[in-house]
Amino acid sequence: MNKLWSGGRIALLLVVVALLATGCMPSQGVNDSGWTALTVDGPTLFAVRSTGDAVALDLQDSGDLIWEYAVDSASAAPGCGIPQQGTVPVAGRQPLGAVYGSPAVSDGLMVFGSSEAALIALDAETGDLAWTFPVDTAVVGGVAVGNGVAYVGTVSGKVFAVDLETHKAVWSQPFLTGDRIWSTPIVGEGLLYVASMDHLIYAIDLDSGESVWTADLGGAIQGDIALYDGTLLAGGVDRRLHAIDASSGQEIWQTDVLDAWVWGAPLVSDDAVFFTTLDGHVHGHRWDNGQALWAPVALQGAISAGPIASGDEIIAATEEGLVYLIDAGAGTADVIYGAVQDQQRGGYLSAPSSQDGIAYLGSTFGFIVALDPAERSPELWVYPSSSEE
Amino acid sequence: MKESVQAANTPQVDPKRVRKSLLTWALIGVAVIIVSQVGFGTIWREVIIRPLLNGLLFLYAYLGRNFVIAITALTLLLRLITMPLQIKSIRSMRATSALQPRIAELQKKYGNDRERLVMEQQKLYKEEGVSPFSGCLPSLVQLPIWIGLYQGITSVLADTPVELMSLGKNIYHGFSAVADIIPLQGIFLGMDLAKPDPTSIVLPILVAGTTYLQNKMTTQQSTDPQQASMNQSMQLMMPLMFGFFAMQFPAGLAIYFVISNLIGMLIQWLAERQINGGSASQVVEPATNKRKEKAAYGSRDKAHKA
Repeated sequence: MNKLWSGGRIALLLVVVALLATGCMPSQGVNDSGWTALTVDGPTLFAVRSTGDAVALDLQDSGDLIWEYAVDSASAAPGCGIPQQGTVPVAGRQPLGAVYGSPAVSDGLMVFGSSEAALIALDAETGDLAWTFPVDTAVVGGVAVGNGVAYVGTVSGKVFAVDLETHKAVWSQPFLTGDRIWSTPIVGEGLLYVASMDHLIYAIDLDSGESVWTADLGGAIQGDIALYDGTLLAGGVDRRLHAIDASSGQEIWQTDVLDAWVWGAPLVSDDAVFFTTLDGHVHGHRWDNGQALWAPVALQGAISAGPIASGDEIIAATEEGLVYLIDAGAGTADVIYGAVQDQQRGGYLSAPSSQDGIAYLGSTFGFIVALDPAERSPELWVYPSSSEE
Repeated sequence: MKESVQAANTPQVDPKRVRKSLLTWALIGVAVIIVSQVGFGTIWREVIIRPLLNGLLFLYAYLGRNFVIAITALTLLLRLITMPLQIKSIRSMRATSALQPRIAELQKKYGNDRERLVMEQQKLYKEEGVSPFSGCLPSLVQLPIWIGLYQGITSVLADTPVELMSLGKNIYHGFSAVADIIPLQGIFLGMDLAKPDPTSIVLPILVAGTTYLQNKMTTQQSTDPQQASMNQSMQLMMPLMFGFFAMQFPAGLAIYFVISNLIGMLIQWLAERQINGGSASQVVEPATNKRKEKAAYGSRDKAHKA
């Protein structure tokens, strides 16, 4: 019996160790391969997928593939129930790493930052690697572009300005904040705005890279911020949305304390601001004073991307793979997409995009979905389609 | 007189044991109903993950905002809470070990008759009031805590948006100090605790070394050569495996392993001291005394009936 117990103990320990090693403990489905981050530029959708490749899709032709930048970094490690397909490495390709923030498209380039500690530029026409600019640590946020310069923040809290043509640093040294930067910078009003996890929003001079003003939000800002009509909108761990004068950094208003962290860029539409919180709620507040318009609308699943306007409608998507149409006047929500078979495509955590009333979403499993909210059956196409998988 | 003889021949049912058995089955039933209604994921999150994660954040917030101090305090606290279980486990393993010579005798005697051997072994365990599996239960109880801590630490050291989302979802609503402490300052001795040890040597060696020492302290000596050989190989295998995994895990987790092992050794030493501080006969022959007590209880009962 003692032998039996000892053998059982060994088996138990081995099982635990094996589970630890493969990350198969009952958890919240941690996925370190990034999200499917996308952006729409004219008739083309550009995306870096969680499967480790970058694609350009033709929006005029049902999302047909224009080019693909396939790499050699496919995860070959055993997963937990997620099928892992074997891949053949493509020689000489730059691994794209995990990408969470939307790419920027400018000057014939698709530019994005990645966990590979680099700003990567692909030729927007061909998908060939144009250049890479090494930064000190991983990049989580997206890239902002203004006057031919790309701006990106890193998890070491540094902001880099890189000339798109020469792919050289514009500032003599990177701008340094007090903590990691996960938010996408914004260029506007002649300044660069960067939100950091050190609780501060920085307004930085575009040419010199010097600080113009800072605003303390009282908590880390982990998600994207927004700029509308000279007002910055930002929120984070302090569970409030703040409206800040973009020229002076003075706070205009702040909401009451909410139930969860604000996450995702807010949206301003028709004198109202709409934003989302991590606990799966969509909030509608008055644009002029931040007062709530209606009780928060509860969606199923956590939200990390702000809502988008698609035509006259507002759309929000969740970690559970559900897409909702929000009635901005009444403060109600209806699921328009996300049947069980759709949810097998993963959740929607990255910032969506829209154009001409069509919403585009990237899923955690690497799918890109085009939805027309006006249609009874909103799915227009999915990339990759079942035949391409 | 006739009545008392009849009573002596009737198998004695210990009401305390019956009550205990009924209670155990009732608890199992309730647990099954709760799991089926609420769901394992929710129970795991609410009972294990959230309390551990918030406890860790609380200690971090009020103990100098140092992750290593917070994890040390939490590990110490958890080890102290589960110390009675560890003592029970040690007692049980010692009692089982004490029976080894008699088990060996039985094996010699009934080696050819497997059925009889099993029966005799069970009889011996029953007589001595020892359950070879009783040492397993305390370890099983501690296992979810151990796994929960692993998940809590990974979540608290959030290095990716998904991990931070997980942290944000698990923080208690009323925990207002969170806004001041998130993200945690995960730098210790120049190491980023969310990333693997940059040297790939220091922490793996510390993890392997302390795991080896702790295993050596906790493994009971066996008189059975096969068992002793198995113990010896395990004493080498486990540290090597944990050392290897420490090369891949975030440094914060590796530090937790080291701290946990050190505290484990301390608690083991304290527990053994407490056991050895009691009478030695209690350790080696706990059941004999229990049997005597039960026999006395039985005679009192019989005398009462008579």
